[in-house]
Amino acid sequence: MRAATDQLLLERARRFEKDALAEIFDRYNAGVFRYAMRLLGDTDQARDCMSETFSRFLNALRRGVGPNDYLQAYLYRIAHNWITDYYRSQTLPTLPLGPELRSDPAEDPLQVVADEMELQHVRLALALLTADQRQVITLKYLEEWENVDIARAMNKPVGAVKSLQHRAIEALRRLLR
Amino acid sequence: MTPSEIELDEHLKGLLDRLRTVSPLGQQAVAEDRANFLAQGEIFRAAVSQQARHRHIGWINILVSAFQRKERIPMLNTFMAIVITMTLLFGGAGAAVYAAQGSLPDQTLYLVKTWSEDVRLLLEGSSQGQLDLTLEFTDRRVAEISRLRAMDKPVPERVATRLQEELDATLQIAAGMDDPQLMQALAQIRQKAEVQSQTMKALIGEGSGQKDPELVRIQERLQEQVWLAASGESDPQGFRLQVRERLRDRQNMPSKTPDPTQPGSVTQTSTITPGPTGNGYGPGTGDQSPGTPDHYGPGGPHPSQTPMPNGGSYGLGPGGGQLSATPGGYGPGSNPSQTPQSDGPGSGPQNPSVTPQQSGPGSRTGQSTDTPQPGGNPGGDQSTQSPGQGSGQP
Repeated sequence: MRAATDQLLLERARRFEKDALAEIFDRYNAGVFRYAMRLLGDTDQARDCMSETFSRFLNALRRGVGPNDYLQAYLYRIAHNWITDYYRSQTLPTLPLGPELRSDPAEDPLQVVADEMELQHVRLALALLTADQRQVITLKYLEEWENVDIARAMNKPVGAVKSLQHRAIEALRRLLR
Repeated sequence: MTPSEIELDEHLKGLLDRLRTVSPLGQQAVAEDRANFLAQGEIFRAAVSQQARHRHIGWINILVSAFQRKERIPMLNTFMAIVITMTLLFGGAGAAVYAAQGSLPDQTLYLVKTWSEDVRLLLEGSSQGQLDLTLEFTDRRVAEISRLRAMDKPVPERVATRLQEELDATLQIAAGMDDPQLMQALAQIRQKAEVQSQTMKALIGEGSGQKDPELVRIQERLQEQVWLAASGESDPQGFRLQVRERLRDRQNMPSKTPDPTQPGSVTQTSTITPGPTGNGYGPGTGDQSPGTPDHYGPGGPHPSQTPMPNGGSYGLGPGGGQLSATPGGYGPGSNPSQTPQSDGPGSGPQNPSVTPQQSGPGSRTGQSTDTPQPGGNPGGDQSTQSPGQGSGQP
């Protein structure tokens, strides 16, 4: 059903109809940002990732390529590639300051910092995974996608996705031990 | 719960759950990004629409743009200029060379013809190929001479010279071959020279009255070629030595050191007044300044003529003193109307209008012990003293 909807939407998007493009953005921008934010932990970086993802999507349509269906999987694949490139260009994920720290006066500042460091530790562990392992963990356990959708987004068979999940969990467990 | 989720232990699950909580992007930021996205889409939409209007006549636009929009193929003009230039250059040169192949020595394109022959010879790698080409060129020269004679035109000296050079070249090419190849090449050379000699003989016979001295000289050279090839077939090693000697003689000819002791040697610049009887130039007195050894005796050799290795001295130089023969000398013509084979030193009627011809192969006249007769006419041109002519009083 989603694929059929995506097809109709993409057909209009190929003609760069404003309504279609607006609908696509409204439907997927939050998810792409969330996906990027979970992996990057930085609002500005996540926003850049989101903007670049939609820009690349438009350029793909202009070149006559791009998805014919399953638009969400396509957009997440672009975002994943952007994040992978970002990880490659950075030695270690940066630790954001300010806005990401919770500032509730009721909370213990020490606990807030400890929680944030633990989050960064998890992100660092994800960053140390391979790109495919990181993507499958994110889509499966953070975005809660079905294996079929993950397989579609990763251009892999479902069986390959399952074995990739297994190896990714083992690797992540070793890193977080 | 899927098997994958079972593998995810509580600790790990709890850690990942921490990442689930993400603060959404601010509304303003989302609005900005949305506006940017839609603006980019609008730009692309405009471009696509413009193209769509012309899509059905796109093939016409391509044709029109090839002539109107220079920036579409910026190197087109340069490329076309190069193509046209190359076409004119090589196409024109090729046409000129092709047109020159039928030219005669008195025509402008003859230079192109000889040049193209030189190039062809230069590009030919094998000895046999060079021989075949050179023989073909000798045929051309003979044909050119025949055509000139048919038109009652004189044979230019350069044609005769070129033919002789080509004949020499065939011998040199053959001398560089192995024995089996040499035999075949000599037979080829001999047969070709025989035919050409017959042609030349016929041309000489056609003329009424005086024979063309150039033709006579060429005919003699062809006879010499026949004789050399035949001797080479019987004695290949001797032939090689002979050719080598001819080559050396020819190379040394212009640079020979004058021998002042040679009799009758004169300087080329000596100015001699013809005798009152108009009978030419007699033997020299022997006290002249040294001359080049090639120019002994009246009737200097033709500059391009190579003396025969056996008996290369034809006659004596005029002048007294020791009358030892010098290779490369040419005897005075005893009878200018005849071929130099019968030349005798210092003898013969006086006919200054005829230049003595070089002795042909095997001519044995002008023995070194002969004494030139006073008053003998060497047959030289009276008005211009030929190098090597004796300066004695008639």
